[in-house]
Amino acid sequence: MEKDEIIILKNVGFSYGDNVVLENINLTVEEGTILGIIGPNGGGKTTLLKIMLGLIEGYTGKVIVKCQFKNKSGGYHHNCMGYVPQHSKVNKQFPATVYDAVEMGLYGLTGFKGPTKEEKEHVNLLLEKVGIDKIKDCSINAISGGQLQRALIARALVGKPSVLMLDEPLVGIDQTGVMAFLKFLAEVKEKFDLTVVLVTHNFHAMTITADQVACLNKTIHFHDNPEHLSKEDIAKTYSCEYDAFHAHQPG
Amino acid sequence: MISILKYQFMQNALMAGLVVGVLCSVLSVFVVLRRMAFIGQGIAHAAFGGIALALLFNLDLYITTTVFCVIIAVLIGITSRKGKLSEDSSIGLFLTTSMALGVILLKLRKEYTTDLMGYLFGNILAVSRTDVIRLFVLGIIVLGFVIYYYRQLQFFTFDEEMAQVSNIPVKFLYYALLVILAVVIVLSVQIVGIILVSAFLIIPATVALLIGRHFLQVMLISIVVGVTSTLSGLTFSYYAGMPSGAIIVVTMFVIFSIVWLIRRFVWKKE
Repeated sequence: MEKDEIIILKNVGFSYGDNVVLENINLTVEEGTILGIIGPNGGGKTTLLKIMLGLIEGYTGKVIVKCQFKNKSGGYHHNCMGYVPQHSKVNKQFPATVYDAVEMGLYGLTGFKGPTKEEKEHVNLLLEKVGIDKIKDCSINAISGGQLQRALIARALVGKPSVLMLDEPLVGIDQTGVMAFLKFLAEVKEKFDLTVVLVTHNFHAMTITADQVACLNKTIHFHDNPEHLSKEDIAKTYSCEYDAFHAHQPG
Repeated sequence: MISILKYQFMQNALMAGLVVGVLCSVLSVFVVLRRMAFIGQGIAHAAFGGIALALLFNLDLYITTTVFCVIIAVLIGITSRKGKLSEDSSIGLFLTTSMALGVILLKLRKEYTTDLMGYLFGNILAVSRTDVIRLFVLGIIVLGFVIYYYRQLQFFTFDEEMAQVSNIPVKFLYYALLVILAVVIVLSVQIVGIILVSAFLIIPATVALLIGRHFLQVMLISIVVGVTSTLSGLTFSYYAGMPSGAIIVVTMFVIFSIVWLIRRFVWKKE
């Protein structure tokens, strides 16, 4: 059965001055699937993610995001997208407990009055669902990287988004941790009825988890089911032979 | 304490110190957590150019300096946010140019500028009742803004990108914060001076972050540190006959040192 497209990119390009970062990107994300974007460092993965999130302006082409998103006059009740940045980039000195950090995900929706009792209960339920309810009163500088990542995912989910975007969530996690995280992500996707877009270096993780893979190095070299990915596609994306690429992959 | 309240200039000074202490301490939480300390310094130094402009053309000192500093603050924001220049280069550019402009303008002024040291290091004795009223009005506006946007400012300070994705008006908050910072700095310069105003925007929150676990706790502790050091510093400077700005900053540093030592050796963080 054909799935609805939730994100559509048509001929998207982006440059920093004379440095072309992305060119001629045509990509669709189907609702309810996991899209893995892989590619080398500097290949434009994070830039593409940020364009989809609306964090970067000044790109060429067209980006269409079809979230069930009500505007302010219609009294919006959820965010279109949830974003999980790299946990290593979070300012851990910020004075917040795990609960505080997760509740913040609601602040764009609640305005001056703050979260209602029901919304606070929703935060607590979410903490339980992602398995960090026992550490909710701990400061964010006192928890592990894995726990912080779960807190960031809970923060992204608290606004009930349609799409969850994750930037390099597997960095700094060992192979056992990677498998556990992928299992957790698949569960979260099912539980919350999400579409997931994931940027990563970890090629093997993507072949296990993703329904679709996009190989990106300035432009899209492959976009399909990972089973159809050939050695030639990898060689084109990483500008090196498959064996050399394989030797440098984790796991 | 009672005896110094006999004099109107000390009443004015203490009331002005109270408002400046509260405002700078509230802003210092954003300045420290968003790593905007250098911006604060840039705006403070830009005040020198504004003051010189007002003196040369006999313009209203507050209005001219405030407008000048707000323009500089917004220019720093635009150039660094658009990515054309790095933030520190952009601040360095405007900071030094404003100072240089100030020196040139003061040179063009034929009269001798007697109160230059007052602008550089603060002159609390020159605070009038009108200044105090102006500070109270400004204080209400700034605190009203912070209270109204409290949650949004908190999220924006913690993680600007996720805040933007979550419908927080990050651009508005960024420029509003810069404008408020510029206005508060201009009004604080009279008390503490261009050179030392940065301490007001850094030390209270730095102390508070050693103690507080929640954002609100940090903000309240920061206010207590700022107000306590400002009022005790002013009182001490009156009896010791010392410059108020310098005494307040040293008092803040003493509080920081005590809290840091307690945190390091007695009440260790979790």
